[in-house]
Amino acid sequence: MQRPLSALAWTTVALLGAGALGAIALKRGEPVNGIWFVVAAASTYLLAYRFYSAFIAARVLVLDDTRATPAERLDDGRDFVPTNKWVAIGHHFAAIAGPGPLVGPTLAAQFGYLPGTIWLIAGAVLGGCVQDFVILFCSIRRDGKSLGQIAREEVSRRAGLIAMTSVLAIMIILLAVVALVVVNALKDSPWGAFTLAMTIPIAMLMGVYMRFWRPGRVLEASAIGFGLIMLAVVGGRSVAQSPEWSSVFTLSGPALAIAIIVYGFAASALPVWLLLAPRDYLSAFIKVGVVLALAGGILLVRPTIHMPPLTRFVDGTGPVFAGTIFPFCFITIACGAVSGFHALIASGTTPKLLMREGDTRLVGYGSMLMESFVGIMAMVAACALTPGVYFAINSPAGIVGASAEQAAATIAGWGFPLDPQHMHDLARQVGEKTLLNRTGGAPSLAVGMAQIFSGTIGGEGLLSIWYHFAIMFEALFILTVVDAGTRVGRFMAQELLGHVWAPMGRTGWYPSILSTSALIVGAWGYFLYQGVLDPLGGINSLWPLFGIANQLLAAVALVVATTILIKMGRTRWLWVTLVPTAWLIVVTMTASWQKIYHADPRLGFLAQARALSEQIAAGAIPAAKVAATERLIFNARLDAAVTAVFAGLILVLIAEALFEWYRILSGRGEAVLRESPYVATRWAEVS
Amino acid sequence: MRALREWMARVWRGFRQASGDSAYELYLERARPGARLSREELWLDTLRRRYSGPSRCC
Repeated sequence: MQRPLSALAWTTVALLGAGALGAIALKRGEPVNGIWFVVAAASTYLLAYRFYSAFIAARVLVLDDTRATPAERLDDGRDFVPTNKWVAIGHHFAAIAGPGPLVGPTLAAQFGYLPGTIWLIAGAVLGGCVQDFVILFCSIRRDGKSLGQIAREEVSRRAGLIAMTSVLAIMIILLAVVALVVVNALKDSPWGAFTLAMTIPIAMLMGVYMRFWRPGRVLEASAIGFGLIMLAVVGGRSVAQSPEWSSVFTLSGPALAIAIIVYGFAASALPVWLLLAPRDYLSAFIKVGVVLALAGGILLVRPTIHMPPLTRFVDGTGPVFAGTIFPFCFITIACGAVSGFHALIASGTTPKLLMREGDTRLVGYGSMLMESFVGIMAMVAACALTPGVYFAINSPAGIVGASAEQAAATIAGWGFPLDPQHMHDLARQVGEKTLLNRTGGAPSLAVGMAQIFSGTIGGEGLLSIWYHFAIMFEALFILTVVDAGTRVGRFMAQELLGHVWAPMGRTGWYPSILSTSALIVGAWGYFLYQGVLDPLGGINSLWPLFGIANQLLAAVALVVATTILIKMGRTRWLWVTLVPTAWLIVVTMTASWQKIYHADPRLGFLAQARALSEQIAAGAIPAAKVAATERLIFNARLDAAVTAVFAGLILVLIAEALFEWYRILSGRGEAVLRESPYVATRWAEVS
Repeated sequence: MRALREWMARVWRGFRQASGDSAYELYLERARPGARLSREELWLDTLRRRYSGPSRCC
């Protein structure tokens, strides 16, 4: 009786999902409700989790709950702590969910809602979740070792070195691009800048509370911090309306960039308890709360999607970023579907927490499904805006013009009507001077979220509060990534430099701390500053560079996973990791090639450098701007070189892995699997 | 009613554990008596370990 009921239930879910996907894919010329996106995604995720992840667990990985996990064997109450799987999934999700699944889908909405939505769902189910799940399994079988260590042991020493170098390089680009998103969201916004500035003393107060007054009382300190931050959000309106204070917090892009660079250095060099950790706790709570609130808001408000399924910009002429739908839709979505960075978390803290191998399915596969769902909600929030408003906010002044009238004329020419007065009214309603040319995705997402939240609580009267709450939320947890990433980059630099001169490897030695912090901050700060000065908004260059780097790291993780499956003798099921690997390699290599060599100066870095050089040679650049233009030429060439280095490193790693695969599969070498020896669990309940 | 209270207590325990609020109590359950850290020492040790590797993603 139970079996037919189960079959009926899953058939219903499948039909519901198919109906919802049909509704969003096949409707033409009539508005679609956002609720269909939620139903389509949720149904597909449920089916994928129930059947595909179960298949991977049973047939491909053959998870063994009788095998003691590192958390059981090495339990020390500190690094290795047996943790309930629902608690572990909370830890893991809080760690992997960053700004990527919010910003990527928002930017990719320039192609229309359909390509990004399909990739968010399909990419996660077949690629991102598989990567996270398999790497978590590989790490748990190796005492919680990191991706770099696993690559070194299972592929080759060179592969391990490449993986570690790639991580450091990717981190630098990641930090630059997310910091640029914050700069673009807060420039000339005294309300937003004030709120974010206030998070620093609030975090420090929390740090002192948890260090001296009530050590480790995370919930108490976070509740106090949250209350103070809400006061700062509400109080920001008065600051923005005060002529004196407003001028103090009205900052230009370059000024904000310098402020964030100084902040990043301080966060890396100061004791972790004072600023980084309290901000991280606060950010994690707000992040989870906002994600839940956004899901509830979409269900209650049921927003209408105004963006068409496909826009004319699939041809690569989009104003938000240059590039055709293939490969740039996939590169831009990045973390919402597949994220190489997750492999670092899945081979970091999480494998040291799980009580059973079977928990890797829920924590690895399930967490990534949740992250993809966040991406779907961001897509709904962005596409609920009218296309005219979306493009006016996300397009740089160099393309649509700097006034509402110019922008309206340009955007209407693309077929998306926009009343300039509407942009003025919208800016006034959200408490900003202007919303034009706010590239980077964060402001348009904040407008979308604010409309959904105010539709649930407060109506239009609270639109400005909700907008600045959303901006604070985005900026807060982006800066948390900047803090934590800079610090990890510092440790990596100290480890590398320690091989050259031993004292540099001492993590507590202040000359080493200060110099390596300056090195890492200087590296991402350079790219950030170049992005701020870029007349095309910076996001056009840096987000694709980040997307390429992130997806290349995913390819690395999947290549390592495939090597391990070959060594385990699971050649029959190799397609599970090989198909997403091959797809990622094709996408990233095509995108890398186009970013370097494409003839369109908006897309190809070298073509951009050439076009600017020709303009200088032809005397088309005023003398006062020649030096700045020469800097742009240098930056374009540098970006081309960085892209080439990323792609080159990964090609070497793939070649190393292919050699290893050939050696094993042809019988020329023995498959040596470096798993920890089997130890039976002492916990009786697994049977 | 009792079942609801127990369920809520379980959820609260899970929430405290997930947030790290009960880390010291959990640590005391496992630590050897001779080598126990104080609450403050454990807090600093936890932060040092957490933020010396990738802890937040993109």
